[in-house]
Amino acid sequence: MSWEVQTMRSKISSYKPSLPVMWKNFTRYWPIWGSYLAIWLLLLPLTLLRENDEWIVNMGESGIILPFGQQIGVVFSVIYGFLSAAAVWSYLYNHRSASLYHALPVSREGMFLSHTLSGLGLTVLPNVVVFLLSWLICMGRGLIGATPCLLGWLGAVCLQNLFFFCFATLLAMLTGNLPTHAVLYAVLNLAVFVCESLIRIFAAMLTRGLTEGEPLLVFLSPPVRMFREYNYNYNEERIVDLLGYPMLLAYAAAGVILLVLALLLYRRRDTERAGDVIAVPFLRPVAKYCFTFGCALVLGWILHQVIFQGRESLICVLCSLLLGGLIGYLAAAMLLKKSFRVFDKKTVAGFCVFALVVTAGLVGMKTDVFGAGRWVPRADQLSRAEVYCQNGYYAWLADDDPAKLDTILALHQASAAQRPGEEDATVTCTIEYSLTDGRMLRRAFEVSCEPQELADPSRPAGLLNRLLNDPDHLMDRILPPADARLASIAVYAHEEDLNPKADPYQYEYANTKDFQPLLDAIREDVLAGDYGRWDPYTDYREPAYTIEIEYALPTSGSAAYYARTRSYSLDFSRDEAPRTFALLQELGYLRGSKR
Amino acid sequence: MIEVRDLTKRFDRTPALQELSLHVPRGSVYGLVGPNGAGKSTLLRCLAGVYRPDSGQILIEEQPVWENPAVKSRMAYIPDDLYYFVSASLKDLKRFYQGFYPTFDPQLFDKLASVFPIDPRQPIRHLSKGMQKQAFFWLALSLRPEILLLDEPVDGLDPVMRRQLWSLIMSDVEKSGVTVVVSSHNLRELEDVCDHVGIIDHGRLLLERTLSQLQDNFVKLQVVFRTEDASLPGDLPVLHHSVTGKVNTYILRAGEARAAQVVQELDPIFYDILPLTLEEIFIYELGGADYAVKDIIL
Repeated sequence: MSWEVQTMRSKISSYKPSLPVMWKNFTRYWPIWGSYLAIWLLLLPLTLLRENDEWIVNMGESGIILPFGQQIGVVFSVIYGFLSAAAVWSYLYNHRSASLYHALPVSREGMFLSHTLSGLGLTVLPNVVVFLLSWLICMGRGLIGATPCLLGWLGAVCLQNLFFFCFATLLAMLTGNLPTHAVLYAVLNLAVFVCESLIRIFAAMLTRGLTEGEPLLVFLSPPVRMFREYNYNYNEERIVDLLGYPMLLAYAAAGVILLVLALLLYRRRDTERAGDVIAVPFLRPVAKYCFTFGCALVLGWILHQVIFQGRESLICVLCSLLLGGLIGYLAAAMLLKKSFRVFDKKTVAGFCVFALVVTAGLVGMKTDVFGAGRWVPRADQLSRAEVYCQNGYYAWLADDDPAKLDTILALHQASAAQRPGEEDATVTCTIEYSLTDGRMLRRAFEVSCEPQELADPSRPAGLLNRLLNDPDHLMDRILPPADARLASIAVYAHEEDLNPKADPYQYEYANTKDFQPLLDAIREDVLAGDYGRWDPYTDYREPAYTIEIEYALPTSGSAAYYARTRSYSLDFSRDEAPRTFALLQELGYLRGSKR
Repeated sequence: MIEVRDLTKRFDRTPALQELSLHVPRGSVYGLVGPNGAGKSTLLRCLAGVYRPDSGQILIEEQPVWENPAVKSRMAYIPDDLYYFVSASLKDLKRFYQGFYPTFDPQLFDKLASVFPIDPRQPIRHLSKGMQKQAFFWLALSLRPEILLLDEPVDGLDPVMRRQLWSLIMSDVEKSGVTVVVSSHNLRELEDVCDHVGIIDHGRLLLERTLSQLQDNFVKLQVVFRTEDASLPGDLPVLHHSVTGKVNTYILRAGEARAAQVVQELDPIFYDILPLTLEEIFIYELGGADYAVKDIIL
């Protein structure tokens, strides 16, 4: 074969993996696959081998096998995904080893494929071994139904392995040393969740109406999302429904995309980048400002708590964020420059730009420049709304009660428009909407509750008064539904002198014949305004006794009966609900009279 | 065989190679000489396909080296700073390299065991620096490469082993037509083995000649003039001039015949024309590039 023919390069042949590279990785990094295999052997096949038949029958195969694919699977995938990637790409972090590999007659594509396949193999092959062993044990014990469960576990852990390995691989291409790779992996797995949560905290402090709420971008923090959402359930036919599998498939697909990005970076990667903090030159400023932003949020939040005790003022938040950002900015500049000498005009100018952006952002939050805090949904956008105040009284409304929805919207509008003074008596009023598009919206306001405000139905306090003290609403909230079948009523005395028994601190279960008189007494107290009314001037009082009511809604079938049983507690202080108190004494459930 | 055209390589803003061009004929032993930081190791890494050039071309028989496994499988590269897997023995490395190089010759590997006093089963990390270098020579020669790229190859080796290694390399050059590109600071040694020399400084090739062309083009002239104010004509390229007593010593970039002709016209009391060693050429040539040996008195 001539020299020219031999040196003609084919795009497909360049993707041929190199077996010596793969073999070297397997033999060199045996502690990784060895420990991973050992852990799973102890967790799964050994459990299946060890447990007695009765336990297995009680739990069911799915109850034993599938939980291993959940949180524990995510934890090991996060850890071993990184270890595998860090091991196989570790040669990139050392100039000498990078030179050795890149001098070999293997194309970059072939090298990438070899390391990727062997890195994935470090966890996927042990998974297959664990699956086969577990399957043999199950078959040996006659657990025929175990096969789909084991396949479910294998699929889940392999998909998790794939995503975390691919993610760690992309980060390996972005960095040039192991500590940075490890830190970046740990941080970026949680960064979006943490940053969004902190932004929400600061926004809730500065923008009137906004609340912290649940982060929306949890999907960008994969371990959090997998931890929360990868689960299994039994449907009505008692068949296992692997919830979250589509999510795992989506993450695996995202992992493949990250892997393609990693390949593109690897093809262009310069060998001499070994040792650099960020190995892709054009990403260095991006990394610097991202790091600064992250530090501004995290360190800023810590500093805000430590120095300003969490005071909700623009200046306090701004100072905290700028100080946190400054620390982060200098640290990033030093890391990237590999020198402590970073104090020059360029650094000062860079930080000034960052400080301006942060200041603009915080001022924007304070003035609600985008109107997020002022925005009030339209009635036709709502499916449900709830209002509650800080002292625990609450009202809820169904979507078929447009009159109350309108009142809540009026309350929202009035609260958003009101600016209570510092001298005002205020309560925190929270409104939570379920929108028709499935989203949740929560807003919270400090509402002025001066006596004249409470009496004015156009003011927020007046609207709250109208909503929370509506007699129908109070009846709905305090008494069980009209069609409910009472299961039990129990009384618990918090104060010793009310306890009718020598042995205190036990629930006193009421006789069935006493159920209706008790409910009637409570109803009378509510109607007379002696129990359940919302009063912003009444301080919290320790309950003297509690009544716990358990009821069932009329349904058919035993499973459904239990599924729909409800219970709730009502707390009473000694100076409220006199009719109920007197009746409980009379009936002997509280001390004061004979039973 | 090896053609480098306008090669430029930068490390961030620091230029390591600047529009460097050189030509290495097949079967030659090409010595790369230059001061520290001149770019020799960078050039060798570019030749080995380790570094991606920023611009310019590196061609081996008209084929680019970068990302060309077929070309890279025909060359062996021994870097100055060796790398081996932590627990690997020479035997492990032999197995590793055998998988990449179809030309690997196990018989030759076994035969070379008589030359190198190394136990192939011993972990390489347990070997001394010199023995590690020997181990990599053992592997590199067993690959039967067409091109051998050597960065400070005999650094750390004892004189006997140096001589032995050079004789092995020279016999490969003679028998198989291996092309060798070697960088070294040991110019006396290079003088014995190289037939071509390239001098690099600040990432640029200052000159590239065969060794004989180089030596024919530089002479050392020692002369005693009749009068104290006599001197050589201004058109003669003088690289260095020193006076010891009445003896004037000149380093000239000129052939022996021209130097003799000029000096005879001046009718000196005495003169002598001597050839320069490679080391002297290196020193005086780089003196023109602001790298002169300074007479330092502390």
